Order: sequence, then C-alpha cells, then structure tokens
Amino acid sequence: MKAKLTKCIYYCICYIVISLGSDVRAQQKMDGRVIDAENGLPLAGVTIRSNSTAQITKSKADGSFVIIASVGDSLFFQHVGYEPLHTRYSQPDMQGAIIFRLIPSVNELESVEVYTGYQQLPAERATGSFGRIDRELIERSVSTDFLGRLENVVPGLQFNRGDAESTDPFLIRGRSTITADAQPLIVLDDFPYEGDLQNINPNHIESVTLLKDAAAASIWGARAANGVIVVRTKRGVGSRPRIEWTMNLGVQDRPDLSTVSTISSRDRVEWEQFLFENGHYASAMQGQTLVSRVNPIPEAVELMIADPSDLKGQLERLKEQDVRNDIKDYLYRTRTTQQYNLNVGGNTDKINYLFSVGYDNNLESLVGSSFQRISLRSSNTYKLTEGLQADVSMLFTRTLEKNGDNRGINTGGSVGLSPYARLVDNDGNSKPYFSDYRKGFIDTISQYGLLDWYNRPIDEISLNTNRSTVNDFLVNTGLTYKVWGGLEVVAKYQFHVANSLMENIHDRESYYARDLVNRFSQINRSTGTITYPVPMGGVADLSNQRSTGHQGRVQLNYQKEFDIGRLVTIAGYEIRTNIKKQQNNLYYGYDAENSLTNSRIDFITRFPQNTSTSTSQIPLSNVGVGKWTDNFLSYYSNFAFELLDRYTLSASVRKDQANLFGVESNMKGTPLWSAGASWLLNREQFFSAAFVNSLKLRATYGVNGNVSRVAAAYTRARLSANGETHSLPTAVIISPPNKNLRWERVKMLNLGVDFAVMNSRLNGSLEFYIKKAVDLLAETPTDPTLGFTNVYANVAEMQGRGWDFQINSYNINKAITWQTNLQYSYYSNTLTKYLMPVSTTGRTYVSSLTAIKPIEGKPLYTALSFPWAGLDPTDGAPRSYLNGEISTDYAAVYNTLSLDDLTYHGAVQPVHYGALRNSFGYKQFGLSFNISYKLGYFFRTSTVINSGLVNGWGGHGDYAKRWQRSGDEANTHVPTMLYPANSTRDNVYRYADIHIHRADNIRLEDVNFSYTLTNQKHKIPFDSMRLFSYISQLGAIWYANGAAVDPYFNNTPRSAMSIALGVNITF
Amino acid sequence: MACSKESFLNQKPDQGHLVPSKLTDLQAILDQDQYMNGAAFSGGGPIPALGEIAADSYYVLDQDFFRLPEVYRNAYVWNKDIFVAGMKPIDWDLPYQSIFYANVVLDNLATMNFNDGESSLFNNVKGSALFYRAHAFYQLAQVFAPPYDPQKATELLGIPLRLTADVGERIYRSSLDAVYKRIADDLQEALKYLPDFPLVKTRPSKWAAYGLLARVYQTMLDYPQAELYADKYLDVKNDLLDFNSLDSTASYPFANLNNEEIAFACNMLGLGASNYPLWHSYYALVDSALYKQYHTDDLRKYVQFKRTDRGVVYKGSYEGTDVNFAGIATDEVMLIKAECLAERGEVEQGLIVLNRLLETRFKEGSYIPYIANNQTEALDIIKSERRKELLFRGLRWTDIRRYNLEGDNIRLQRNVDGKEYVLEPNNARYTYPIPMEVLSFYEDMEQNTR
Repeated sequence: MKAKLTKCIYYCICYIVISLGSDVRAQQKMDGRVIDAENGLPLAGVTIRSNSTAQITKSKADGSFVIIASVGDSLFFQHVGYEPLHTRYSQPDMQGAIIFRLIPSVNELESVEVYTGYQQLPAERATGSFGRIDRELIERSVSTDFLGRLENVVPGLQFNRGDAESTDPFLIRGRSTITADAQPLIVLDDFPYEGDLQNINPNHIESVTLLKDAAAASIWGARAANGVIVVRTKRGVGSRPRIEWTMNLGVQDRPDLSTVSTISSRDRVEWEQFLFENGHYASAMQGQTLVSRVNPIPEAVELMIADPSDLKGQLERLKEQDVRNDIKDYLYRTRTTQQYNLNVGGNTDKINYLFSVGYDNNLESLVGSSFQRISLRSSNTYKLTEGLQADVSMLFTRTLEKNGDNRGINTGGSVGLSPYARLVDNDGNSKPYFSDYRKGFIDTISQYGLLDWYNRPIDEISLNTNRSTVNDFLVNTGLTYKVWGGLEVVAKYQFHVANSLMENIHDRESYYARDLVNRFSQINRSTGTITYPVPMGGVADLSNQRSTGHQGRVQLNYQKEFDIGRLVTIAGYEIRTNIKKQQNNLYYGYDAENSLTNSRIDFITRFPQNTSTSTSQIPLSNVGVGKWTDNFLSYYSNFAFELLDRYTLSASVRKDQANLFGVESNMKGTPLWSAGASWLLNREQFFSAAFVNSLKLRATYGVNGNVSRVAAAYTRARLSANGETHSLPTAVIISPPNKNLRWERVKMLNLGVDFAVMNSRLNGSLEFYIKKAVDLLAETPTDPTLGFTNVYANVAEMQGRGWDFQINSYNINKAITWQTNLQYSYYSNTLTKYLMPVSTTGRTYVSSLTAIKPIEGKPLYTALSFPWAGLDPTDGAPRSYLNGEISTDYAAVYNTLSLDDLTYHGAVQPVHYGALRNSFGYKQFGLSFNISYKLGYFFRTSTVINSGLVNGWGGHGDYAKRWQRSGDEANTHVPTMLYPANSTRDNVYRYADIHIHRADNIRLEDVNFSYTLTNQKHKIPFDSMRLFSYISQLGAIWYANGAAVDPYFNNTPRSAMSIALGVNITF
Repeated sequence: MACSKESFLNQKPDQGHLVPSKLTDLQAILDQDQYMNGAAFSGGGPIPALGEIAADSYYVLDQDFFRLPEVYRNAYVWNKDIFVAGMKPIDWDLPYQSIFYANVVLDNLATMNFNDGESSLFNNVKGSALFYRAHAFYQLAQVFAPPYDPQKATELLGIPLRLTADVGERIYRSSLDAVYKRIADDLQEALKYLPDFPLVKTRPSKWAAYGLLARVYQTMLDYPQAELYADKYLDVKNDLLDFNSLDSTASYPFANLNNEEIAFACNMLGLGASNYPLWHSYYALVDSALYKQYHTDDLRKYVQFKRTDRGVVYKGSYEGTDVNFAGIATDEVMLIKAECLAERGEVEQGLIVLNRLLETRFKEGSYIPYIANNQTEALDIIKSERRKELLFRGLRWTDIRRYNLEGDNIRLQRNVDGKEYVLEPNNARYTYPIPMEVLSFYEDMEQNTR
C-alpha cells in the first residue's frame, strides 16, 4: 500500500511530454510534487493530466513533476494504489513547488503490485492470474510456519486436510501430474527455495504472490506447472531507524481422543473370552512350540490361561479400566508455542537496511516433542550512485526438532493397545506392556542372565530421542545498473547451504537396544555363558545431510515509452546447481556420555534368535552415502506492451535444460511459452457506467513444464558395497535406457475479469481456466521377457477446468467499519489417457482412497467401493451384489467384481473450496473471523474389522453395534463378529459403499481480536502498538455426512482449540 | 563452453545411480547375487520353482492346500491353466531379469574400450555373463519348454532366446534344438574366459561350467558328452563333504556357502513369495515312502529332515540356510558320472563312483557298498540314490521328464480334499504354459498345448 522505493528501481521512468502547440497563451511551466498523504513519502510514476491542455506527464523518483498549465487549471492525478485526485492548480508557494497528496486507495485491487521473482508488475497491467497475500493478512494469523498463514485467504490455493492431506498437502489449482512432484514451486525473493519450508519465518515476510496461470508462472518454465508461490521478505521503511517487536504466546489443550472410536474394555474382555473358548489361544496355552511361547497374547487371555481363583474378579477389574485415561495423561500434554521477533530497519538516500532476529519455541502436544527455531536476517540495499545499486542479504536459520518414542494413541506396536491396559500403576509408576513377547517367555529366558526385557512405553518416551538439527544459511547478492534510457542490467547470485543432522538415538536403557541385545544373545544352556553378537549399549542412527546450492542470473530490463504506450521487457540467462550429500551411519554399543561406539560387529553371519527358529543378520539398514545433483540452465524472456493505457499484450518464452534426461533430450527440448492480453474496459470512451470504477478483461494461454525424476535416458543401476552373501560391490539395474524422455507439460487457458464498482467498495475478480496436462510420465507395460515388466514413458494425459472467484466488499466505512471477503474456487480434473493396462478387478481400486488410481475418465484420487446389500437378516452376514444378485460369496465378490461393478462416489480432494472472512473495526478495536468451506469430496469412515479384532488387541467402537439377533439389521450395518474371522468377508464389508461419506464441511477457522494504539492518538511511547488474540482450531460448524465424523479428524484425535495472545510494537 | 555445458548437463542426478561404463561396473551387475543367484531371502533368481512344486518329493495337507496362492495350487495338481490374472508370473519374469542383466553386460562389453591390464577382469566378466545367461535359459527350458527328445528337438518349440538388452528386440520362441544348442555353445564359449575357481561361490567358473555342461548334456540324453564334462569337473576338484562331520541336531547342519562340494551357489526362487509351498517350516511334508528309503545309518535322514507333529519336513538346505539350494555341486556331478557309466554298461565303475559318494553320507564304517547284477539294476540304484541325494534341489522335475522319455513310466499322483489327481508319463502338462502377460504382446506367439 505504501510506496516502496524498491519499486522505483524498476519503474522510475520519468518523461515529460511537452506539446508545442501554437496556442500556449496564459500557460506556463509549473512545478509540483506528489506525496503519499499518509506517510509523506514521494510518489514516483504518478500520471498527471492537465484538463485544459490534455497534456500528460509523470512524476519523478522524488515525486516532482513539471507540467504546462495555467493557474486554476484542473489537474487529474492517477496512480496505482491511490484514489484518483481531481484538483485545481493554485499559485506555487515560496519553495516554488506545490505539494499534492494522494490518498492510498482502500481498494486492494488497484494497489496490488505483483512480484514474479523476476520482475515487479502493477496488477492493473498484468494479463496473467496472480493472487496476492499482503502483510496484514499474513500477520492476521499466528503460526510457526508461513504456509499455514496462506490457508483460506486466497482463491486457487488449496490445502487438503484430514485424510486428503496424504494425497497432496497443498496445491495451486489442482494436481496436474501422476509421478512428478505436485507441490508448487516456492520462490523466496528471487530464487527457488530448496530448503525446508519450516525454515521460513512468517515474521520476515512482506507479501506472498501466487502465480496461477501459464502467463504468470511461465517465466519459471520447467518448474512452473504446479504454480508458483513467491515470498517477498520485508525491507526497511522510514528515514529513521524503525524498530518492530512482535511476540505471541499460544496454548492448546490436549487433543480429544474421543474422536478415535474404540471398543470398550468390557466388550474387548468378553470378545477375548469368546476367542479363548473357541480355541484361538490353544497353542499359546499348551506352549509346545517356541512360537507359541514367544508370540504375545493379550493380558486378559494370559489371565484366562493362568486361571487364578479370582479370575472373574480380575477380569471385571480389567473391564473397568480405560487405557485412554493413561494415554491422555501421560502421552499428551498442553501444547505451548512462543514466538518472538525483532526487526530494525530504515531507508535513507544511501541505504535500505533491515535486521531481524526471530525465536520460536514450541512444546508439542505429544510428550517429548518440541520445536525451536532461531532466525537471523540482514537485508541491505546500497545505492552506490544514481544508476548503481547493490543488494546483500543474509538469512541464517537454525531449527531443532525433537521427538521421543511416543506414538500417542498408536502406542502398542503391531497389535495396538488393549483398551483395558494400564500404562502406569496406581502410584503413577510406568508399567510394562507385553506386545512383542509373552511375559512368561521373557521371565523364563531371563533366568539365563539376559538384560531386562520389559517394554515400558512411558519410560521409552525419554529413552529414545529423535532429533533433527538444521543450520540453513542463505546469502543473496545483486547488482543493478542503469545503463542508459530504459535499459538496466541486473546480476544476481544466491548461495545456499543447509546442514542437517538427524540423530535417532536409543539409549542403552531403551527397550529398543535391550531387545536387540537380548534377541541376538547366544546362550550356551549347558555352561550358562552368553555371548553378545549385538554389543551392550545404545544404538545410534545418525544421518547427516548437506545441501549446497548456487544460483546465478544475468538479466536485462528494458522499458521504452512511446506516445501510444509502453514496452516493458526482460531477458535473462540463469544457471542453477544444487548438490545434496547424505551420510547415514548406524552405531551399536553407543554411549553418548563417553562418545563410545562399537565397530567390531558381525553383520554377515545369520545368528539364531532367541525369539524364533529362524536365523537373522544383525540389522544394518539405512547405512550409506548418497549424492544428488540438480543442474539447470535456463534462458528466458518476457515482453509486455501497454497500449493507450488500456490494452496490454504480453508474451514470455523460456527454455530449460537439466541434467535429468541427458544432453540428447535437452537439445530437442521444446521451449515453454505463454501469451496474453488484457483490456481495461472502463478507460474506453464509450464506457459510461459511472458506478464502475474499473473493469478489466484478460485472457492468457501458455505451456508450463514439470520435472519428474522417475526415469532417465541411460541404463541406470544402483551400486551397493556388498551382496547378500559376499562383500563385493553389486549393482541393481533400476531402469532400462529411454532416450525419448521429455518434460511433462501443462497447457493452460485462463480467462479473467477484474472489477471495482461503487467507488471501489465492491471489487473482485472472476477467473475461468482449462488445464491440459500432456506427456505425463507414467509406467507403461512391457513384455516381461525383456527383463523388466514396465518402463516409464511420457504417455499419460489429464484434463481439468476450474473457477476462481473473489469478492471484497466494504460494507460499512464509518466509525464502524465492516469488510467482507468471499472466495470460491472450483477445480475438477480427469485422467484422459493412460496406457498401462488398467486392472479390471474392482478390489484393486477400493483398498486405498488416497492412492492415485489411474482410471481414464476419473479424477486421480477417486472414491470407489463395493456395492452394499445390507446384512443378511438370518445371520447378520455382510452382503454385496454379484451379477445383479445379492451375494455372500465373498471370494467371488472380492476377486471377480469388476471396476464397472463398483459404486463410484467422486473425488477425494475438495472440488469446491473457499472462505468467507468478515472484519470489523471500531476505534482501536478490530475483530475478524474466517469461515472456510470444502465441498464436493468424499472420505471413508472406519469401522470394526473382524480379523483385526482377532489379530489385534484393540478394535473399533462399532463392535458394540454388531448384529446379534434377527431384526438388528434394521438398525445396523455392522456384521456379526465371528471366529475364525474371514478376511475376505471383512474386505467386502469394510470397502462397502456404506462407509464412504461426503466430506463436505464448513468450519469456523479462526477469530482474531485486536486492539491498536497509535502515538498520535493515544500518547503511548511507541509509534504504534497492537495487542491481539488469535483463536484457531475452532472446529466444524457443519459437515455433510450422517456418520457424525468430522472429516478433518477421521478416527484421529481431534485438535483442541488453540489460543494465542500477542503484541506488536513499532517505535 | 559447449564441452563444459555438456558435462554440466550430463552430471548424474543421483550419484548412487550408475551408468555402467567400466568393467568393475559390469562385474558389480553380475555380482548382484539376489537376482543372479537368488541369494538369501530375496525370492528372486534364475531358477523357476514351478518344476519342483509339481514334482513328487512332497505333499501338502488339505487345509494347507487351500492357503496356497492360486498359482501354486494349480501347479500342485497339474491344472491346465496355471497363471492367474493379477499375480505376476515370477517364474518367467525373474529368470528373464537375470538374462537382461547378463545382456546389459554383454552389450556393454561389445562397445567399451579396455586397457590391457584389465584382461583378467574382462575375461571373468565375459565368461560369467555367458554362463549366467546360459544357466537361466537352461532353467527356463526345464519348465516352459518340452523335455528334450533328440528326435523331435528341431520341431518342438523352446523358449524365447533374448540375446541383447535392447528394449526393441524382437521376441519369438526358438526351436527346442536351437535353445539347447545356444546354451551349450555359450557355455563352451564361456569356458574360454572363466577362471578355474571362483572368487566367491556365487560367481561362475570353469569348474561350474563343466558341471552345468554335464547337466545340460544329461538333460539332452547325450550321455557320452555328459560323462566327458563330469570328468572334467571332477578333474578340477572332487572333494566330498563327510556328513559325519556335521551336527545333525543343528537347525542348519550345513555350513554356509563354504561347503566344499558347492561349485556354483544358486537358489530356487519363490521364497520371498508369500505362502510358498516349499518353505520347509510351512507346508511341504516329505513323501513318506521316500523318507522310508533312507537307511537308519544314512546320515542324510537326520541332516536333511526333522520330524514334526504334522509330518516329516525338509530342514534346510545344502547351503546352510532355509532356502532351496539349486546350484551346482560335486555330489550331483558324481551321480551324473555314475549314471553315464552305467548307461554305457560300465556297471561296476558306475557303482564305484556311487559308493564313493555314499560312503561320506553314512555313519562312519556302517556303509555297505552297492553291488548290482546287471545294468538295469545298477541304473535303478543310481536313480534312486540320485533322488535321495538331490532332494529339493530343483532337479527332480527334469529327472522325471527325462526318465519318462526313456520309458520309466513314472506316474505322479496327488490327493487333495478327497479328490485324486494324476499326471501320466509324458503328458503335455509336463510343459508349463507361457504366461498370458507375455503372449498378450504378440499376435503370433504359440502357446504350449496342455
């Protein structure tokens, strides 16, 4: 909103048109100056028109201008982001210049300047589709990461939550690839950011621009197909040093475990009794084989086998216990977050500077997990001479993430937790849980003198540490030189290095370490001596990763004004290399205190195990070194021609070469390009609708690329240092050669209209687009006789269309202000071509909703299910349909039902989404809340699985709703629970259409309440102070499904409300 | 600039990825023992298990039969159709994968330049690649091609001979004669390059190639040639393992690959597949008539088997793990030699060889040497001892096919769920069908009639 000097660098083009018409009587050269009415800074590039002479001029960098006019003339001032000004020209003052003050426009549309990473454009003149999130909006919410603050504030940017999050966490205008990376490209200031997104501190961000269509993003060429998110960091403002202090503290209660449906302890004990009576534990009871003595069985069953005199009483006691109490008390805690940030910056004639220090400290809700971040940033621009400017900025980030061995609700290994288990005794002491081996086995074998073999989940949290430390350092340098006229040369270079150390340490006291030692201990039962192939001590799994990136760019900017318009063009050459190296090591006998490890370990011999009859090698997974290199060379150019202040034509072209496909393919590579046009309709003579302040039509078309790393031009093999049976190097062939590979391409047509009416109190935009993704890399089958069963090739295609709509309304603009922002996005796409034979068996498609399903004519993520025919009224068996008839032939249904026989529901990612934000202001108070909606998609609720009940120790709460007697089928769809279980019967039930529900939901995302004091009005010792509270995770207002399951928390613990309090002081 | 730009764009995206360019790279491809030798628990390798699965050394209980994957159930009862949609025909795919590996190496050898100092490495790589490919062709032919009848070999269809790594190579079925000729020729060629002994047992050697040639000629009913190569093998090394030195109570009495009888280590594939019927600890119970044939003093009875409440199970293999060893070893070659001698009437000589082997299999001092009155008797003894010695080594199926061709009339029989299944001698079902996954790519590839 405020004029930034930086943009002068690009747009400080001043010229004077002097008409030498014959009729110059009473007219003279007059001086004036234009400034921002709010902050007094000079405004450059303001268009000034004299009504009487119709002459036009523009203001210089210092805001000054000269115009031929007469006193009393009416002057018209127009500038992006400011209210137009009509005023009379009066006599100059003593200094000889008259000051004109332009009031910043409340209309965001016109104030928008968009940054593409290569150039800054006034949105007014852009042809492409840009979305902009300004600082105010970024600072409205509280979060550690910056991505979270982009959610629900801009159309076209989609965050998937709940089950759908595992498909794509966030996308711009939907997914347009099958195997390649689908995540939008993140650009930090000028260059793609290759570090962890967690390293970007939201307090450093000035604005975020989304590049959504081909014209906006095409400048990023081969990496633009997923859209681009350009993050601009803050710069210094104000001639005197300005200090900004921000802090916020947040708390969030433990998650609500009741959203995880769990079988009751009573039901579970009774079920185990049923299993016991039916002989499921007969071999465990006899204990004749090692397997039956080792393999764990639930606590209640151990009791039944021991059969003490008060068995009934003991079982009753178990039935009263609820493990979730212990989970809640001992595995979860209140989450607290702290965030502090200090910015010191300023802007003088010679230098623009900003220093930032940020610190975050979060204690996560899982006990043992925490996150800390320190970020230091310095950003300076030196204005060396009139035409030469140097930029140097540095960013250092250190993050420390720690996790203990705490799986929360999923504690208990492969069998899970018994609902009646206790993790602590009555005195709060940690209790062992026997989910790997039976207690009896451990107690017996321990006589030989093994280490303590009990697993106490609560103790394990702190005995195992998974720590990741990242040091990330980013240096940017740049030189800008104005050669002459409108020609400018820009050279930029960025260096990035990130070191991360991942340490997964199992203390010598940890169950993990003790179990390994014990399992491999070789006991000589006659002499009683024990040898230890796995040495005593801890186990440390250390991994070190280092990423080093260099990016360089030389760019020419050229602008030329003509009578009828203006040419803005850039052209550049870019080189980028990013090298990632990784080392993984596994140490046994680890002792952190004395820095000890034991390297004399036999990883070759297959040792007999105490816990099984088979032999095994000492595990040595994840060990090795790796190096990955990404090299890119790019050439790009971009033109915009603005005609008569109302027409803009744009075009861009880019060619990328990379080390992915080999030189041969690169040479053949097709350039990626875009073209577009926009028309400011309201500036036409014939346009007379006075209530319309602005009306712009635009259209673009272009082709962007995407990078996939799944295939290569050459025979690729992967080396290993040893084989299964020897220590000689071995190589596995990963892919046969394919010389015809090329970039994936996405073609996009975008049509848009931007409007502002009623004094710009109502403004917004509507866009329609069509996307066609071609040359997508997918597997295509080959004759296995060739030695491989499939190869990757550019064979698949996808097509989709969508709408993005946004409207901002200033409903009340008096003492009370009320503003409404509404966003709506729609996107739907289908796979149009896929060559790999699509399996016709239905079951292939029902098991996972969040896996890509390549079915022509359907979205990539699709919900399909078996048809459901209700429960059999005679025995409560689940039923489906086979050849149109009701059937209980589960094997036939499961194995032969074809894709066409399945029930098709729809997409798994939201098709419609958006948000509605209302903001109110009264004096120093501000209140805003955001409501989001996601519609038109599906998810699957969980239910009780019979075989899961037999094999696992927990179970789903639907167990209580199982069919038990005739007539139940009217009220339930949960079948009878049998022993032995039939997993095919389970599958026919669990994948039936009754479990697929609409995931549509509307939720109150957050509420922000603020209280702002300024120096002028409230006599505080600061320029301004804002106190705010931010409340989020407020939950769903509505969801569509009848199952009463919030799709954001589908059988997972529901996050509690989070409250943050903060203060922002500027002085 | 052009040159440096080229190298910039040619840098490997993943350093762990290798674009084979050196002899050591090619050696590393061949040393991939999971795929080339079916090492350990990979479930891969060049030796189909379908032969052994359909052979007569074991049976499964009814309740276990129904737990087997459909492909193995079909194979167990010799159904007309074997492969099922949705389950990859690994018995075809994986041997051809090892052939592809060998072809990548052979193609690269043809275009690479090498220094003189590398000649021994070059020889080993070249000889090994030829050996591996021939070995895999041989193994595929035992299952997917009909038994080798010298009279009909030119008319019968064999398997496709894939001879390059090219994605565009034309694939067609060669005649049975061409297949065996290729196998024998490649092995002869390999002999020019291979060292006498391998550095590790998973690598081919002259020793192993002689053994494989002896086996190939035996399969081709060419006993003089088989005997010739058996002799060459035994000339290189003929040490035997005295079973008295083994601890028969151990889970796996054989030492790892160090077993001095092993010339070439290779396992049957399938162990990685779930519910694989031959994995001893699961389903396969040893045929009781067969088990009874072992004399009480025969140490193999204790070393190889374990009695369980379900029946007798095969304990684990000759190479000291629970995978099925199916490589080349001295005991097999001695049995080939004995059989060849008996075939040409040298009954006494043949039994001497057999007795020498068996002496090491019996309790010290307890072995009573075999004597035979005539050739038929001698051959019966040798065949029966061959079966007992080479149990679950991937050889029985080939032996039944060969014996029946020679008129032994071995009739296979199974009982499942009260139903009897029979495989008559020389039945067409001794040859497996070509998987549909393969045929679907060609209009004119002929299926085996069953």
